[in-house]
Amino acid sequence: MSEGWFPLLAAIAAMTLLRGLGMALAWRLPPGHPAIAWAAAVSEAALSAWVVLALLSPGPWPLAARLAGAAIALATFMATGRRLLPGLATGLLAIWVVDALLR
Amino acid sequence: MHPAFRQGARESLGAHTLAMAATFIAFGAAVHAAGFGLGWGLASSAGVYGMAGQMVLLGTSGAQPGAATAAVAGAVMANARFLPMAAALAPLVRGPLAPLCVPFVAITPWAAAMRRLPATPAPDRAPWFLGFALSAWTTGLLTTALGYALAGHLSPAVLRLLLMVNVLYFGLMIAAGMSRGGPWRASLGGALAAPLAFLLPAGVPPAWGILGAALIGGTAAFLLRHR
Repeated sequence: MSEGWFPLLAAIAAMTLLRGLGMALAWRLPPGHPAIAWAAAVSEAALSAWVVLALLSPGPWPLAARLAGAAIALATFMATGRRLLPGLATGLLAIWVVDALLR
Repeated sequence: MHPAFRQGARESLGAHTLAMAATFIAFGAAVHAAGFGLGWGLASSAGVYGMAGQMVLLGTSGAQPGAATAAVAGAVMANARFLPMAAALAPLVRGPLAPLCVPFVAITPWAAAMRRLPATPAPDRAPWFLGFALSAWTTGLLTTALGYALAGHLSPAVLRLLLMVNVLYFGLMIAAGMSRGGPWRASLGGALAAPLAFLLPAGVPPAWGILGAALIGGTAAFLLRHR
């Protein structure tokens, strides 16, 4: 699998460029600059879009299991005073259980 | 050692690490299953350090003609969000340590930094970020190796479940931010624009959908921010 090294090294260089370019472009701008506010909004939107697409796109678990897992995780998270670990644990359990029930 | 560095490293241990570790274990196991070596997996986790791009590379870095170009282009698209993320982080870590922060701009440290750093004294911000990020990055490398070693011992169902940990984790992080009055417009904008990705023609990499949704939802949130 030596073929895999060239794309990997090229991708590492590209990632470094993306990160460095973002940092350099914003280097002299004050925190409240509109360009910074826009970049932050786009980044936050990218994160939530990624989560929504991971939940809705065809994937390794049935859609119903993924949605049930997300709902249970959120409900537990809110019910336990916004504690992440109980939310995560019950969400994963719900995915597993709903998947088993659907089989 | 700077106290803020220690504090950042301490804060990275917890749900952040658990969620990230689960994903990297699954990645390590997938690297083994794809026939790549441990060195390749570790280099990917260390240098690409963005799971979406890592998975694209893993899935496309084959021996077929033209695979290398497609793999690199796909990974860049999948992780293109690093550019605006680094731009948003730059004012918070500005100073002599900022260049050291560059390789660690990735979802986990970035999301934690954007929530934590605005309330942190300016001189402590870069050391805190470096402490958090270096700890998270090291965890990523260790768990990649662990996943590689465990490959074959984990059931496919467990591996599939590990891939869901990060999705739920970031979903909860966003919910927490929104309930505290954080950047809810941008989070909501991205979530509402995300289904537009399903309108993309067949064959277009899903990463373009994320980027498009982020640009549309994020820009709308930015334009509506003072209303």
